[in-house]
Amino acid sequence: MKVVSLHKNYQRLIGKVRKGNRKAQHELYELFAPKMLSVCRQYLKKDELAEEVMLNGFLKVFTRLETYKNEGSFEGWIRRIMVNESISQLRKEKKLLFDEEREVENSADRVAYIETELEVEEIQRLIDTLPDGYKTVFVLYAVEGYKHSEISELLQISESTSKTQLFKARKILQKLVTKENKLSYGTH
Amino acid sequence: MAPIKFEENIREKLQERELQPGKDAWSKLESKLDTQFPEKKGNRSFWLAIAASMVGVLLVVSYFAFELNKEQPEQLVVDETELPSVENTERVQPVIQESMKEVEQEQVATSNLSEEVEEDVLDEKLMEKRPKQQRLLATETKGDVILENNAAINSEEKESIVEIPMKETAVIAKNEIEEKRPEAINEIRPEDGFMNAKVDEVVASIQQIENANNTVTAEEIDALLRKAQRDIANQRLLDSSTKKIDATALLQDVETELERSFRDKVFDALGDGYNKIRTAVAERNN
Repeated sequence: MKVVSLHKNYQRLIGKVRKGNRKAQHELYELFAPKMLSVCRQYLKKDELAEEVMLNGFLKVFTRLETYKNEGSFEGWIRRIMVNESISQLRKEKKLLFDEEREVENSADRVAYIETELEVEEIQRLIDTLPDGYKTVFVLYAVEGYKHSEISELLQISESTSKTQLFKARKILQKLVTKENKLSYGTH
Repeated sequence: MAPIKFEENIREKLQERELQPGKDAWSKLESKLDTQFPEKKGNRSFWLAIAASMVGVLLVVSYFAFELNKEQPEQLVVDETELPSVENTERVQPVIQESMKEVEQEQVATSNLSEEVEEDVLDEKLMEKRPKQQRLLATETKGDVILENNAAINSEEKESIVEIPMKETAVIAKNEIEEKRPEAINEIRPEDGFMNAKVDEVVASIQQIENANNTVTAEEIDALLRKAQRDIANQRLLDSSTKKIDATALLQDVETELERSFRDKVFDALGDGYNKIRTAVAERNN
């Protein structure tokens, strides 16, 4: 029932935003901005830049709301816009440079399993240490749930490159987590 | 299995994370929206103006509707109470107006008679200053109804009036009384005085016809009676005090009474020819 009423509220709000109702736009912004800033922050290290990208993403949400067909999650639709906007920003800064590398066979098996529990801030800090290419593929795959085919299409790279980027990202993170664990065990 | 343990819950943790944007973030976005959609703001003010005008029109309409609703019950009350009476008066008024017109026409006719009577009274007043002989002669020639009738009945009596000073003094005394009490004269004149004069007139006419032809037909008597009745009816309708037609007189059906009393007086005055005339009237009625 709550989901239905929430969906109805969304529909009413979306209808007003489509008519250019500024109050409704503000309401929609207040509703989704914190989560969307978090999305942008996953790809962009600087908070100000992430906020700037998020605002541009909302601008596109308001202008392209006509293309939303009321199919699927509205939040997922906004989230994809934010991801695209973040990737566009990285491309603008020419930070997304991928070398076509040979696909690493069974990359997951070669990475040792590391068991650890990290807070969200610590996770973000570790992700920030990754190069932009690795980081983007890792976040798209591990956080947003994109498949390699989707990542290759989105980033205009091959699927093998996407897998290689993911393998390299995991290897770096493994080292970082091991180092973090050693540091934490040493302090105790 | 994910190679790193935190990968298993990283999606949940990062997707649920919320970061509050800066306080001026919305104003920045709003300024971008204003530059991107300036026409929408214009449209908004345009629609606001239309809405305001519509609200204004609605207020005016509702105000007048309210005023009408307030007035309508009063009109309904008026309709319920006054309209029937108005209809009645509308029905009655034309009848009254028509009858009043007829009565006014009759009043004009009868006022001429009353003016003549008044002239006679004035003449009598003037005659007090004249010599008695001239005054009596004037009464003969001026056409006073009473004196004329008396003259027509018996010329010998007229001569005796001239000869006997007692009757002269009686006439002068009568004139003096008329000067002092005009109201009393008005009371007598329209009713009994005029009727008596008419009686005398009819009797004199019948006697003249009888003297001339030795016989009086029923048609002649009937014509004389009808004429006299018309004159008396006209005189009765005239209200002597206001010089207007008495409306109530129209509503009273006194014709039968008038006819009976007037005929009785005529028959009484005729004396000798009473039975003869009565027989003629009875034959006519049969």
